[in-house]
Parts: sequence; structure tokens; C-alpha cells
Amino acid sequence: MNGYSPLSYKTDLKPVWCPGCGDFGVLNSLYRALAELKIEPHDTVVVSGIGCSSRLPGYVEAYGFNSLHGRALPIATGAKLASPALKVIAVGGDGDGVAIGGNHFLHAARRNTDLTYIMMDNEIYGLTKGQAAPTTPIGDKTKSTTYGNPEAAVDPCALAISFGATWVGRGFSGDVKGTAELMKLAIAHKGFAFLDIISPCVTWRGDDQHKEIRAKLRTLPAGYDKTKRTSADAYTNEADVVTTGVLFEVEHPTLIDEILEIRWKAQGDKQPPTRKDLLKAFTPSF
Amino acid sequence: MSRILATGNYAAGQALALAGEANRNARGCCAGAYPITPQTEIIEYLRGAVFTKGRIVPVESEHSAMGVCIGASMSGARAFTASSSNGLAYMTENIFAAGYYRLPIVLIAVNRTLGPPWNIWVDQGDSLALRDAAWLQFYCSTHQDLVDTILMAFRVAEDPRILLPVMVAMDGFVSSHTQMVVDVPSQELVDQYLPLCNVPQRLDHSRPATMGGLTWPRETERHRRDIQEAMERVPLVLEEAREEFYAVFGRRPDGAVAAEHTGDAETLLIASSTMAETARDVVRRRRTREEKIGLLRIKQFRPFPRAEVQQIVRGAKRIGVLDRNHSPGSGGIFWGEVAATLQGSGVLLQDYITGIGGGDVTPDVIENIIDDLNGRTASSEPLWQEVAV
Ligand SMILES: Cc1ncc(C[n+]2csc(CCOP(=O)(O)OP(=O)(O)O)c2C)c(N)n1
Ligand code: SF4
Ligand SMILES: [Mg+2]
Repeated sequence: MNGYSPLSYKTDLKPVWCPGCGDFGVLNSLYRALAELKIEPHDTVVVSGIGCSSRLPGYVEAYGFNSLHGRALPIATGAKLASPALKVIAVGGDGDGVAIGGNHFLHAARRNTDLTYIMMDNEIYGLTKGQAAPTTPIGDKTKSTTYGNPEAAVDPCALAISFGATWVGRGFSGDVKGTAELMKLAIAHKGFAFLDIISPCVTWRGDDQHKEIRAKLRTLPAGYDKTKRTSADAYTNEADVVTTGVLFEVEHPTLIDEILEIRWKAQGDKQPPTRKDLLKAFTPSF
Repeated sequence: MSRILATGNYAAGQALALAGEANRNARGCCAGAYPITPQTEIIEYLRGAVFTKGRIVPVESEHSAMGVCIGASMSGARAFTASSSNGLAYMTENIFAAGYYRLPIVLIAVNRTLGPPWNIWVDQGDSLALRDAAWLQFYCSTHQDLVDTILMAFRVAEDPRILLPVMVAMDGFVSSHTQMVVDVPSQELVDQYLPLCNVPQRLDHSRPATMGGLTWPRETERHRRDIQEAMERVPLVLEEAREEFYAVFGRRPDGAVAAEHTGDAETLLIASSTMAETARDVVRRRRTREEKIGLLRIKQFRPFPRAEVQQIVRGAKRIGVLDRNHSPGSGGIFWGEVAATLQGSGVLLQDYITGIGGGDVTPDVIENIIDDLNGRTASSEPLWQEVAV
């Protein structure tokens, strides 16, 4: 690839998203973030599940994997553990990550697997044409909640914090520059970084979603302490505002660090056992 | 009875809702609902339906959708849901559980090719992968067949001699998204046709008991044999369900198989789902040219109707099986069953795997297959008839 410009991460595949879909903004932010971090495509793998948002890997000049619905994180974990030098970015929808794949979100976060997880949160199942997701506000009428949604919505950032993610942020797809900055921080973070990007679905959440969210946008106050869960929690599950920025960040050994640490403790300065040593353990001595 | 122009999904949704409502004077109905193309309109229809006593629960995955059905059925409610493709794959663990718990759940399987690679069009690999899950399976070829089979499915599933879940399959898009004229019975008639659902092993506070638990091999052996014996009672119970259907609704739906011009046929095609409808047209056309050709539609795949197949194909010299499915390393799945059924008969049996991934199996494709079959002196390994352009 010659040089690092956002355009150079673009592929020949034309996005099939609806005109006005928030996911275009997310894609453009990712192009920028990758270019500014000067990340080589051959060092990067973008893994997704299934959904409108999960089409994204095909549009990024890097290794891509459009996997199964809800299964991006285990596959990303495998890729990272097998090849720790790779930058592994998991992407997908709110349904993908909080509904059918919700359990993986918990385990990837609590293990502090060194991954970046970008959720394109449109508060709906877009690809299957407009059914309520766990992020859909209570009371909303959708294709699957004909008379109103009886369930309270969850905030993916609140989940990430409680699951043990070591970096949690929120962005808005309409702010390409700001979201790119957040992506750069998330990708640079060592450990499990979760970035929730509010990314409107113009087709199933209505044309006004963009405008409504923009009117609700706030930033974190000056002097905000992002290392405290309690302060981060205050900016989750917000009703009338949407606060963007890095809500939470702490340092903690990653899964790979812990694995190496355990091995070091068990082995100390000793050489690892040879095959002969191992076989000896199974040979009976009379 | 009302005649409506409806898609397969809409017709299936109506049939499920009628069956659910028919249980309002017992323990009502319940479904776990989760979307996947091309089945989604069924669960959307159910979510919009109003039940006197019933709940359609939107859940977070297919695994949970079947879980809700299991819980509901164990509580004595009439339970049903719908899914497709990878949704069925993800539901699989609970699909087996429903079968092994002997719960009379009805599942609409809208056939769609399993991914990857991602493909939303029809082949039968998704539901046929579940053929060993202790469920009855029916493959429908028209919307009327679908509505009638769904209603019969509840009767057969809930019959105390059977108590097994039933999967009613239709072709994705070809059936689910196209419209046909269909008679949808009134609630009164459905009430008359379907007895109140009684799940004898349901959780009952007067007989506290725990479901599940560990068994010894001898108990498991007995359990599996019980299921086999229940499967063997299906022909009798289905026949009764058809007769009663005729008495209530005035028409007799197809049973396990449907034969057309098979009496004197020397060349015989075996097909299922909508491919059987296309094959029927071709066979009728050839019959006008005095060709001795017939068609056997296999509608019931589990239990596999061995006796019916043996009886119908007896006079045939050559048989071609159209399989819109594929078991890698073997061949077409219907062909495999037919081959086991006809072992030792010496008849020429050829498998044609076609329409995989939703390719359109047109009359011309079937004409070519018949020409190939007629020209054969021996069968070969399963043949691939690739049709997609
Ligand atoms: C196992 C399985 N079940 C269901 C589906 C159908 N399905 C495809 S995408 C989707 C939901 C998409 O919602 P989300 O993850 O929020 O992505 P969006 O389209 O909104 O970006 C569903 C239910 C599937 N592909 N696989
Ligand atoms: S349906 Fe919604 S999420 Fe999907 S591409 Fe269209 S606007 Fe975007
Ligand atoms: Mg979504």
C-alpha cells in the first residue's frame, strides 16, 4: 500500500447500506483511525458477526471475517491468541453483541482479551428489517413489538464496565472526526476495549434518529476521572442526553499476560520439559 | 372458512395462531419468537396476533426460542415457533431436547441454505440436518398443504400415542414469499378439529417431579426405543388425523406421500416440496405423449414412509430422486433413504442433486433429468445438476 491515507483502506466493494445509514460514518472513522495510526492492512484483521453493520469488514482493506451471527468475539479471540502480533478488531451490531452473542461479550471482556470491539448501535435489528433489540427503548413500536416494547433497554457501555472491560467509550457516527479519535484510543489500548457507536438506522428507526441524537450529545466534564467505575456508571443508561468520550479506562494484565505469567510461575528459570521428560512421567517404574 | 391470497409465511402464521387460540380453554399457547430470513414474517404475524390465553415471547436467540417452547409445553401450553437455516442450527441443542422430552411442539422450518457462505435462498440442508432429532418432519409443496399440515401436525404431535414434536417445512422464498390462494379455516372449525392440548408429563403441582436427570444405559435404551415405537404409530395416527380433517373441513390433505401416475409408470421421479409441483407439471406433459412416467412426492420424511414408498414404486424400472440437499461424502439425503428402502429390489435408482443454494429448478432442468434417467442402463454415483446462472 502506498502511504497512509484514509482512502487507501477502502476496498472495491461498494457498501450495500441504505443511503443515510449511520454505518457509513463508522466506516469513514475507521479508515481515518487506521491511517492515522499507520496500521498496516496485513497486520490487521476485522472480524464481524451478521447484520447490516457486520458487512463492514468487506469494506476495509485488511484481513476480514464476516462470521456467524453473534460469534465475532470468540473468533477474534482465537485469531489474537494464535497470532498476538495482529491488531484484532471485532465489529458488529447491538443485536449481534448484546442479544444472540451476549455471553461472548461477558467472557471476552472479563478475560481482558487484547481486542478492540466496536459496536454499531442502532437500537434495532436492521438486517432482519426492524425488530426490537435489547437496546430498543421500552414502549417503542417495532416489527416485533406491535403494541409497544415491554422490555427495558440495556446500555452496552454499562454492560462492558460491569463485565470487566478495561477501556469503554461512546461515540456518535455523525461525528466522524471525534469517533476516529475514540477508535484510535481504543485500538491503542492494551486489553479489551469496547466502543459503543450510536449509529442511526434511518430505515427502521426513522429519519429523525440522527437529529434527535445530535440534539442530545454531551461531552464529559473537565477533570472527569475515567479510572473510577462509579464515575463511569453515571454516564451510562442516560435518558435525555448521550455523553460521548472515554468513559472508563484502567490498566490491567491482558489474557496473554496472565497466561505468560502462569507459565513463568510454574516454570521459573527452568527450561520447559522435553518430550522425553514428558514421556517419562507416564512410564511406570517398578 | 375464508379464501385468501396469502404468502406462505402469512398462511403459516394464521394456521399457528388458529391452533394456539383453539387451546384457550386449556392452558393456552406460547411461543418464543426470534427473527431470521426468510421466516421472519411468521413470528412477526404471531407477535401481532391477539390471543385469549397466550403469549408470544420475543427472545434473544433461537436457542432461547425453543427453550421458551420447551418450558411452555412442559407447563401444558400448546407451543410453537418458526426458524430457518443457521437459526435452526443454533436452535439444535434444544430441538433435540424437545424431541427427547417428548414435547408436542410444532416448528415451522422455512428451508434456507446453511451458511457459510451466506445465502438466503432455499435448500433443505437445514431441516434435514435435524432428521435424527426425534421430530416428525413434513415437507409442504403448496400453501394449502402448509396450512392443512400445520393443523394436522398439532393433532398428531399431541396424540397420546405419539407425543413427539413436529417440524413442518416449506421452501424459503419460493413458498414463504409468494402468494397463493388458500382456504384458511374459521376458528370454530379449528376448535372442533383440535382437541385441547394435554401434555401428560407436564409439570403439575399435584404431582411434584423433576424433569431431566441422569439415566443408566438401560433406561436410555428404553427411552430411545419408546420413541421409535411412537414413530411406528405415526401412519395410523396420521390417517385418523386426515379422516377427521375431511370430516371437519371437507378436504383430505396429502398424507405421508402423494402419487401421481405411478400405477403403470416405468420411469418414476421422486421429489419433495415445491420441486415436486414443478415435476408434476413435467410428468403430466409427458403423459400426454403416452410416456409411462410417474411422480412420487415424499412429504413425510420422518418417520420415513418405507412401506408406502415400497408399495408405490413396485412396478418402476428406473427411479430418479431429485434432492435439493446434500450430505457431503454421501449424496442426496432423500436418495439415501430411498436406497435403504429399496435395497435388494434391483431397480435402477439414480440421485440428482439440484437446486442447491436456491438455484431455480425449472421444468427444463427436470426434462433433462428425465432424459438422462431414461437413457440409463445403470445408475452412477449421485449426479450434480447445477442450475444456477
Ligand atoms: C443464528 C442466526 N439467527 C438469526 C439470524 C438472523 N439475523 C441476521 S442479522 C440479525 C440481527 C441484526 O441486528 P444487529 O446485530 O443489531 O445488526 P444491524 O443489522 O442492526 O446492524 C438477525 C436476527 C442469523 N443470521 N443467524
Ligand atoms: S436497514 Fe438500517 S442499519 Fe441496515 S443499512 Fe439500512 S439504515 Fe443501515
Ligand atoms: Mg442493530
